[in-house]
Amino acid sequence: MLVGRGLTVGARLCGVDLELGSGAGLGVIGRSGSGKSTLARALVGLEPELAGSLKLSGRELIGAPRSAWAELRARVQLVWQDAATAMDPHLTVRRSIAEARLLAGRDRFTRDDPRLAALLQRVALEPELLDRLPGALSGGQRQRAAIARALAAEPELLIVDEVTSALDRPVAWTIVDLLRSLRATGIGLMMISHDLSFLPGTVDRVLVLADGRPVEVGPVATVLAEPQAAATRALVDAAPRL
Amino acid sequence: MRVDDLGCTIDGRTLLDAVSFSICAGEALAVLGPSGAGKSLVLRCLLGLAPAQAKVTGTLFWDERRVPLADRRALAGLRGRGLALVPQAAAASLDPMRTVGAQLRELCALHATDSRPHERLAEVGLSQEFAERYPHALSGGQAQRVALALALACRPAVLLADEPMASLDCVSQAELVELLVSRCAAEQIALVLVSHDLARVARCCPRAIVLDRGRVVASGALAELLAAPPEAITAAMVAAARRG
Repeated sequence: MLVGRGLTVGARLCGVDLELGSGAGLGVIGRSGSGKSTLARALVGLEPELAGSLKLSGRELIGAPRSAWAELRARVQLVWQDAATAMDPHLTVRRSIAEARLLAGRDRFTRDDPRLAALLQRVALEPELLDRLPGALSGGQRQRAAIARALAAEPELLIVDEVTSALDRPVAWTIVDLLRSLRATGIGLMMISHDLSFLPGTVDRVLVLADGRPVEVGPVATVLAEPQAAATRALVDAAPRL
Repeated sequence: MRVDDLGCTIDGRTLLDAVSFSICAGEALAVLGPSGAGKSLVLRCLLGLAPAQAKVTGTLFWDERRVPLADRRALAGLRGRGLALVPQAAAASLDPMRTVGAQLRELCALHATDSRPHERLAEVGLSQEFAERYPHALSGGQAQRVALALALACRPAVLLADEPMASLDCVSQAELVELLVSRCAAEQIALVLVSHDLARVARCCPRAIVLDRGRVVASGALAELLAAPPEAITAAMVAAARRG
């Protein structure tokens, strides 16, 4: 569905190849500043310097008019690291969800729309939280609301950038379990994570970036068990274990 | 340092209740617990920096002194040479308009410690070149090291570290924890390390207290808490750390 070849963003990202599609799961790991978030932003059209080739269902996006990206924004949704700043503090969860549907060209949910109830159930968010502002939610609730907002656009691919890093570990695992359940329903997933333990069981393959360049890619179990690149070995060795 | 019966209420809501612990020079103590448990608030109360509307109770025993935790002025007097903080959001805690070196010099002058920024930077593994940098030119890991250098420049008796690894990649996390522990051990500084990453602190803190909803629900040797969690919150943290 989304195929990138030689994706480059100035000096921050260089020569990344990837294929993302419905039901597929790709993990992206690397040290801070390695280009992970730049890649995520590039894939949703937020990096004007993006060069190389990025095709959505066979249609080239790089160099195409802005209208060509509109279709991508409906089909690919990005969930940011810090839900506290990513969500409009003046919009209730209900209005954020409505806005996401509007921007994706979807029809409006009615107040008692069964699809809205199903969406909340999918992300395990209590209906009484719908009319709260983001500031009145806990960290875990806010991240679930951000994922609900992304899913409201009915995307085929979800890109999640460090969505667990601000959460304590038991709550972080509930978000990872949610992402796993979404994948099981056929949604593609690209997961950026500093915490390697969240990747097995959540994604199939992993891409390792170092200084903006891809240094290793392969099945997640193989890459984490037998890292070949020095950057991967450093990440695996530094991961804490009890 | 001994904290006895620390309590904190805001608008009638109890946020901390009967929190007590002690720590000796050169020792490392982990303060663990889920988000919202009150871990960061404990540090703010010790520094005399609780929210203005908060009512703080309890006593800080400092050497031979007895300092009421409600006495913000007395606690302010301990900041720097007594208690120093390494904040969670290091980059945001630095002055964006001044170089790292200028901030180090100011702090050393303020607390009458020797003013050699280059040595303070070398202690945290940063070269001289960083003294000329502004905060925007630092990576997350570098900013945390600068924040640690600033805290150490005060030559404190107790270092309070509030989730200092939270936004770093795992290599930087491991490096920072190693640095924190080694510097504190070398200078006999007591380290109070707030974290929700049990696996990370298990390597460096022999002792821990676990907070939940403002109360200490478990305390003791970390190895024993890991082996036999005494209550549900600790058990959930151990299970989550072992999963995956």
